[in-house]
Amino acid sequence: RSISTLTMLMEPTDNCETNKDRSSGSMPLRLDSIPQENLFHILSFLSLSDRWKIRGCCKFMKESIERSDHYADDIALWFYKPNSNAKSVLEFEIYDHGTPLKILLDYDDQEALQNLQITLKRSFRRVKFGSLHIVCHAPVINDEVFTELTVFMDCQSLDIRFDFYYQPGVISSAIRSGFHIHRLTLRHCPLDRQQIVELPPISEISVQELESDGFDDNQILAIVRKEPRILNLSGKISDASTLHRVIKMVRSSQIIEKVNLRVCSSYFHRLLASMNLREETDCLVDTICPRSPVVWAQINTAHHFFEYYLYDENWYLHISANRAYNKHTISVVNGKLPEKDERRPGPVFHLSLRST
Amino acid sequence: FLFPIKMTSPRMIKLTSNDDKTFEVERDVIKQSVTVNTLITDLNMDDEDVSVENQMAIPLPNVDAATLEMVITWCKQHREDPPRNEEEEEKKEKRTDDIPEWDKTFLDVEQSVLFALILAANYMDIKGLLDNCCKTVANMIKGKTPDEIRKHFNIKNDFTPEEEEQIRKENAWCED
Repeated sequence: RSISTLTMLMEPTDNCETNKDRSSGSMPLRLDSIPQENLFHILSFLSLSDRWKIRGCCKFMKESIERSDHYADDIALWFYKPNSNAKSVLEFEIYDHGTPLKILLDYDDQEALQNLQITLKRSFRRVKFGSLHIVCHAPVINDEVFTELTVFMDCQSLDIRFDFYYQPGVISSAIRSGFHIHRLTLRHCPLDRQQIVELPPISEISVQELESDGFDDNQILAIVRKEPRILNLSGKISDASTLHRVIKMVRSSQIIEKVNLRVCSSYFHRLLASMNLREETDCLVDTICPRSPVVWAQINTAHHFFEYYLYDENWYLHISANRAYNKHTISVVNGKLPEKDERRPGPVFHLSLRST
Repeated sequence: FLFPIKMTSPRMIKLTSNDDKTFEVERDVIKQSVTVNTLITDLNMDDEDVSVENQMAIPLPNVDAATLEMVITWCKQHREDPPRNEEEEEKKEKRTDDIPEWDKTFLDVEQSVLFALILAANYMDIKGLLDNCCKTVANMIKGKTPDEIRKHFNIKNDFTPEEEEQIRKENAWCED
């Protein structure tokens, strides 16, 4: 253990720049002259926009930032902000480390699209993304655009998800280009039953504004039959039998893992009216648990909490005055009480419901 | 019966700056430096039989005396801090509004001093000091335009007008 050993041990490595010269007084330390390792540490405390903005200070900062790990996040923001006159917009969301970053790209601006591709291509060589989520709003999206977007497919680690809000043709165009559609969101443009049947397998299907879009029950049932792993339905299912069939199909599916239902149904209003219960808000079916021994749906209203069971082909409806106190419980089984009913204390009403 | 009570003075460690100034610092204080702590442990320098006079000083060729003095002051102030759990720290939200008041005052120094502290904290591996220094610099950057940042940190704009225009376009989204 000698002084020379200690000195040798404490000598900075190649990766650790010495500040001896700088601190000697000839060259005071500055933000644009500190080692990149330290600069990156400072950057980690900045917001995305501040981090991005600092590129504009000088070449050193720009190059440093572009070499930093944070650049993986930041490249998502390489875009020109779409101007108000933009006819078409491509919206990209890149989920990196769980943080969604959004790109809005004016598709009319070919230069911007080209630059985005160059940037992403370059970055794909260095970074791995969690997923690239492409939300296509633009009605102009066509085969040509998808050909341009195939650049993303070079990155095998990329989980590309598409959301399409427009035009069934866009979906077939994406499929022709070789993209796998992980998620499909249907809102303003309903597919007819046949088009739904012809869709490829899709992991997640979301249907929004069911009634306002003119979805009929056949379309809804066709979507459930596609058996996505995740099914999100929101809107209105008026016909009680359709609702029952949806729940029953979910129950029998071996593929559907998660169902989020935000559907209201006038059926529940009628049901409640028959029990002399008035509800101030829409009755919403919140969740259905697929493949549980008892398929059940939770129905929330302003004052009541319902549990809606399918049990050996019979429907049971449990109504509690509220979740906490469970003041009133109603069990309904096609006019008779179930044998395995998990009744809770409270008055029991017998209602006649149509069996599915 | 009276038993002799052994009075143990705190174990001291000698550190030498790159401008050959030696500091004596309590072992418990400097343990916050992972670099120094590891060295002491690995080289069995915790031998109580060696008096501080006979002890080898640990050279810190990357830290000048003025900076080392500040580092030691910071370590003294934070000697009672609970040990950091780096895994937990990684998970934490990156905030800059949680610098302790004492540190805020302590780090209210010239930029060159602050950057020297960052380098020293990085070299000596003192995470708490490094974080608070970097947060202080981050706070100076936050909310400023590139031009304001240049002025604040005395950075020369070495972009060509074309490059500047290109960056201006790229930055348009964050300069609202």
